[in-house]
Amino acid sequence: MLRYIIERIMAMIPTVLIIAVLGFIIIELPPGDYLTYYLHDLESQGNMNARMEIQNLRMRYALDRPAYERFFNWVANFARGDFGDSFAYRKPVKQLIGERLLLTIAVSLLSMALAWGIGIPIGVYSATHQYSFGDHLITTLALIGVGVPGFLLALVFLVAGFQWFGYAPTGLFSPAFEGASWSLSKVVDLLKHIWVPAAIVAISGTAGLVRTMRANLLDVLRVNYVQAARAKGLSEAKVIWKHAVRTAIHPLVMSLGMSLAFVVSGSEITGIVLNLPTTGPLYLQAVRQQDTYLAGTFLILLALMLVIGNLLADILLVIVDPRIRYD
Amino acid sequence: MSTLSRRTFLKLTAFGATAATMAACTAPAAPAPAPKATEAPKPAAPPAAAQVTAAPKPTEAPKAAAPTAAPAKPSGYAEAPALADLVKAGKLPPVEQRLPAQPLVLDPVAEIGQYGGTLRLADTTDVGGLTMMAIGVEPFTKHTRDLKTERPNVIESWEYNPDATEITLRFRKGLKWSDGQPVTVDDYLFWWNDMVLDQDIKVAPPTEVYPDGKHMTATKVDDATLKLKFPVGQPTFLELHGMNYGKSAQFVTPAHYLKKFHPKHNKEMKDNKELLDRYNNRWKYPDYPVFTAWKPVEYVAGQRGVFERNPYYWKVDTKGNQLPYIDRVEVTVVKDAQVMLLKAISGELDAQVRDFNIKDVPVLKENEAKGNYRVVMLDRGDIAWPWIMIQYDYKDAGIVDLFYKKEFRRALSVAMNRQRMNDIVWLGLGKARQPAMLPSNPEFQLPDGKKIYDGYANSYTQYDVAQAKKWLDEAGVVDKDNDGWRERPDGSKLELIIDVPVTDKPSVETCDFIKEDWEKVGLKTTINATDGTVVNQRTTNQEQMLRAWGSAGSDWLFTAPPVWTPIYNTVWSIGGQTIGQYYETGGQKGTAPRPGSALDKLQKIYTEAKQLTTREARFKKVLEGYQVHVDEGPITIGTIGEHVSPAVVKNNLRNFSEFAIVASWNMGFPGTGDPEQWYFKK
Repeated sequence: MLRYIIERIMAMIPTVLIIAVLGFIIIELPPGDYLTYYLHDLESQGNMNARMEIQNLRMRYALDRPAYERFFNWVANFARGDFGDSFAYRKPVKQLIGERLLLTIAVSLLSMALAWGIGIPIGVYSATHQYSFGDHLITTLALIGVGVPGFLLALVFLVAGFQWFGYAPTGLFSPAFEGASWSLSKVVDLLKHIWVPAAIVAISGTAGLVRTMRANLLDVLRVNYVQAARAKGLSEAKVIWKHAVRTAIHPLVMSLGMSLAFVVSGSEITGIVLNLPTTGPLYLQAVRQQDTYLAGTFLILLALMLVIGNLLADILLVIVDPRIRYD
Repeated sequence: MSTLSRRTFLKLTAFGATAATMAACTAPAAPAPAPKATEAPKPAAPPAAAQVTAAPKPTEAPKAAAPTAAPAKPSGYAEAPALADLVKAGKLPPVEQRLPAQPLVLDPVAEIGQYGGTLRLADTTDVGGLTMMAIGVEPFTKHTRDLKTERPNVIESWEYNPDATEITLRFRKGLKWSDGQPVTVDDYLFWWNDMVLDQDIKVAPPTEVYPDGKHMTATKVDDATLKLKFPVGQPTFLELHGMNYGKSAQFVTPAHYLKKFHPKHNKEMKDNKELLDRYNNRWKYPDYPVFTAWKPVEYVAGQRGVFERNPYYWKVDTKGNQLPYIDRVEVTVVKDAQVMLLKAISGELDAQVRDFNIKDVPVLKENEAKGNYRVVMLDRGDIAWPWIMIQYDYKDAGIVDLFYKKEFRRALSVAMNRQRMNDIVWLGLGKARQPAMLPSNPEFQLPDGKKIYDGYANSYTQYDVAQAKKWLDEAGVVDKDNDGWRERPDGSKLELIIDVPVTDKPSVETCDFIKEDWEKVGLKTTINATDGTVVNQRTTNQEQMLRAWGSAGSDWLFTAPPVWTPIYNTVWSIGGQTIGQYYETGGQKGTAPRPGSALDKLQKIYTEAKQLTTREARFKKVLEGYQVHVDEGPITIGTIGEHVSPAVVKNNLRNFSEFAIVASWNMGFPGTGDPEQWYFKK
């Protein structure tokens, strides 16, 4: 087992490096660079001077250097914990991501906890009561939940909030607490706001979980050992939860591996619609503006989370599923 | 202000002809949404102007009237309670010592205000342009609230020599940075000598300081007096140098602070990175000294910015109360247009001037009472939104041949149903027109002006399908293979492609109508709605046939000439960027306009016009250029212009000046409406 883990970790290094190279190439692919975007912005404000300033800035950001040179300079500094500066914000990438990471993780974990806490029991109910009224109702709701994108739900929340409560639930803090340092009342304020994005993200997540859980459990319930367990006279709850669910949850555990990347990026579009101070909107804007180092660092972070998540999921599977061994 | 002597005043008045402001060129005659096209400004000042102390009546001489009409000096000074407490605690010098010897006395738009409150604004991608337009407009001289002329601001008075090759500027004595250090001529010279002329820094200077490629010389007379000499006459120097927050408002730099980051003054600095970052983003550094009404105290990248009152601010109201009235400014970055709207209708924005679509008006109006705000309709001053730019430098010569044919261009123009665009895209609040300058421009006030304006703005705007078909037939664009689409004269396929930035909603909507209209007369049309950066790339690379440019504001003749003559290497040059590049590089690079064509004539007329020293002669020459547009027009095609722009202002926010040209960032609204005297009524 230990040997397996070490091998996997060794394999991660080239994987992440290849992703970094590919990611950098893709970010560099569109014509122009961040400064063409910046120039467009300035010129549409009637700034005639901008074009001359741009040459200066191009040197300032070393954008006049070839791409491979910039890539190696950038990667070479990783060891020192320097991930370059964002062009748009003129701040170290590390600081920009750091500022937002904690809140992003908070929102993501909360929404995941909600989704799993609600999704699994409902999925189990739906499977064990197949084709009952409850199952049909849950299936209908779940299909709506899967079909409606998060950002649309967010807009619906905003409009509903404004219509009935005269207040649109954007952001994670009330204006009074936004700039304040951390205190008990700020945490309370955060809790007042965080449920909106968490609930919205959780709704789509829950719906997916319900559907997967239902389908898997239905498969497992038809298998002989479930019959055997029942024949042995075990209580129905024990049959379902101890024997069937433990096997049926297998693909969901695998999907947890994917979720680690989601935990650090959050939901991008929902984040924009709700004006959240999370990393998602930052990433999306960086890609749009060709803010190379910011977007690139993000990509590497996401890749890293993905490979680590997969490893963790594989380890977790051994614990959950007695049939699996890595030797 | 009273330091401007009567002698100076007379001199300046006499000099009015040449030195008259370009700002006067532009303000519409009346603040009504749709000024009558042919009316000259009435002698009576428009309503908003009546509230402006410094604004001279249009019948008076421009410029120098402003300083003399200043309100009487108040007898004593008062300050915000929070500052008074600091003074009592010994943490701040008393208000008399913080103010300059002659503070600028500002007559409030409506009434004397009350101290307190937080102004909540929104910005779109980061704390930046929109914020600075509201709280960063403190140039040498500022436009008056009615945008007709200039008034003293950082400089108390100024004097040109007769041929405008020399200007003497007098800085406000005792003006201080927000850290209490004095603001002197050296702060401007630091920018000029250590940042522009220093080859290691090389900040790009604006055109007005190096007319004809030769830069000015700046000499310090004393701490408060600066002399600038130009190689050629620069009668419009102050107006150009006073645009929005990016010119002299930025060029007067806190030298004592920036020296710490300049490699020449601080050997620890290896490069110009730190210096340029601070200089270009002054509102993001809480320690950067400013002389604006509020100073930065907090900045979270891409999320928010907070500004607090500057205790050393140098303006007072007529009662002697130190401005600003409002304590704090909080800027939230809102990246989604719907969220911006939502914030407005929930009453979370106090004075938001930009980034509402006209289509938002019904929703904004519906929630006025609930959100406790009012919707103010401001003038935009657009020549057209969008204007369909014909790119005469497109790489397909067959298409360019067609573009150079008058009949073809006219057919494109009259095939458009502008009434429908106006009704649907602009709720009927705009005006169908070609992209002519605004009717209130001074050149149109000359004897022939009205006629030329009418020809320029209103020709070929009538929807006429039969006429369009006739002109297309004349141009040889007919359907030869009976597939329902017209072909090029040589029989090959013809497809018109309009590029439009996908974020520009009104232009995208308008383009959909244009496609329908053009296809009705048999022209196959494709709309290429894509990222703005890509649209720009295609302009530069001559890959673009037609481009829909949104919100083209007409402000000053000589600051935005590319909208009527192709003389700049810029993406918004009429006729195509490389045709402007050809002119700018003297034929070294770019695409030559075809000899004898309208574009060729326009370039020649501009060359003649910019050498004329009197305002009158220049305007006459410019009218000659406009006549080319009348005779051969449309050279580029207009749709709907002169619309209004909704702004959201909270009901308890008072002293908001409603006179504006919003499309033009050069003008600097709402900065020109003096946000320092806005206040919250309790």
